[in-house]
Amino acid sequence: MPDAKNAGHPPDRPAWFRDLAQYERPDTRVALRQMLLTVIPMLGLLALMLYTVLHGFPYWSTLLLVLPTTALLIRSFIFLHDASHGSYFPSPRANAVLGFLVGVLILTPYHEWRWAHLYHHATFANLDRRGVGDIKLITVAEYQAAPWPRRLSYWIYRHPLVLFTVGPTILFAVIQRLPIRSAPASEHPAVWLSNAAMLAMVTGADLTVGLRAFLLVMAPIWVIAWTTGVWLFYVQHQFQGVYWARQEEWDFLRAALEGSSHYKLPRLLQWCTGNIGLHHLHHMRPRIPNYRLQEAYDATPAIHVPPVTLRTSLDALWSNLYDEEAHRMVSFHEAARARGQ
Amino acid sequence: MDENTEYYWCELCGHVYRRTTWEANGNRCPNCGADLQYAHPWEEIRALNPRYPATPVVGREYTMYGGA
Ligand SMILES: [Zn+2]
Repeated sequence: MPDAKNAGHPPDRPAWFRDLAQYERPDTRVALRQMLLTVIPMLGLLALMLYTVLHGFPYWSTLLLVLPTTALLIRSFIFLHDASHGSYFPSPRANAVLGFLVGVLILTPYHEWRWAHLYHHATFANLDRRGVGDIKLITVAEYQAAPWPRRLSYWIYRHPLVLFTVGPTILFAVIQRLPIRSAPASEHPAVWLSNAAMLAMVTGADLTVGLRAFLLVMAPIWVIAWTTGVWLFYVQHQFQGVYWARQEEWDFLRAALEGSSHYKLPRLLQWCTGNIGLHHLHHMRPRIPNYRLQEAYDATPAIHVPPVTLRTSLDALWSNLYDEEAHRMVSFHEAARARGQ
Repeated sequence: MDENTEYYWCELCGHVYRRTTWEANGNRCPNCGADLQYAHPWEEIRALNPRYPATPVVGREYTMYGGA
């Protein structure tokens, strides 16, 4: 591949890469059908859950409905994700409205999330451009050179019992209420607008069904949806075998194909997660809507890399640090052992 | 790839800037920081969207198929 950074023009792309552009066309009919089959059942299930709480049904009967409702909320979040890439509806305004509304429901400020997410696409797998829109990751050398309070805070942050329990809730419920410091000031008002809409949603719920009933329904859904989202994002970019490189060596196609996983999930989970497991393809062609990803993947043998499966994704649980010398993710334990030798 | 194109459209954020502005920004999109791999000569986007103007408005966001 020619050195694009010096040449000043985009490098030549393989034919199959150019061919993928045909799948980047949004389709209003398919998008509306997806919404109909996802958002309406989700609202119906939410109403049913509220009914069980308000009419004295045992709470376990409410909890029985949590998983299907959460699955539909996660799928709705994938629509928000598509909207952020301008790929869900053809209309930018429709994408913005959809993104904002789903964002309010899942406590995410859409416009700023979009900014951070595009930043993530611009910088993924690049060790010199970490820090926005990603899960914090440091290298073994950085960890070992850090003073102990920083090592301890990173250790706590990256421990699976934090990262996949309270971590996502702190991120979505607390951290996302404030603008990201490095975000342009122009993004800040939208965060406050989202906060105001969320406050209106909570106040409206309090005045109608009561805050207690609202939270008994929404809290378990939120916690599972947020945690699943963080887990998916983690497996997409910090799986065992992932490619990370410094700026001068960073290569877009390698970053897409090897720095983003193909997380091959069982069919039902693939549906609930809106094909987001085809993440390597998504990074290569970010404007392919979720409803065309599988079709694009099937037509492109060049991107049929070995997938991460539900079972092998668990190997990533202890991917704590990136070892720049070995070019792989290592656990805290492995890093300490290597240092002791 | 046409290296003499005057405008690049960013596949990530959809904004259009002069090639020289990308260059002055370290060959990254001046709006979102995307790498040149996400840059497409305006002529390519216009081929998909005949209703788009021959000369785009610099700094404006164009959807990928908004002028098809
Ligand atoms: Zn851009």
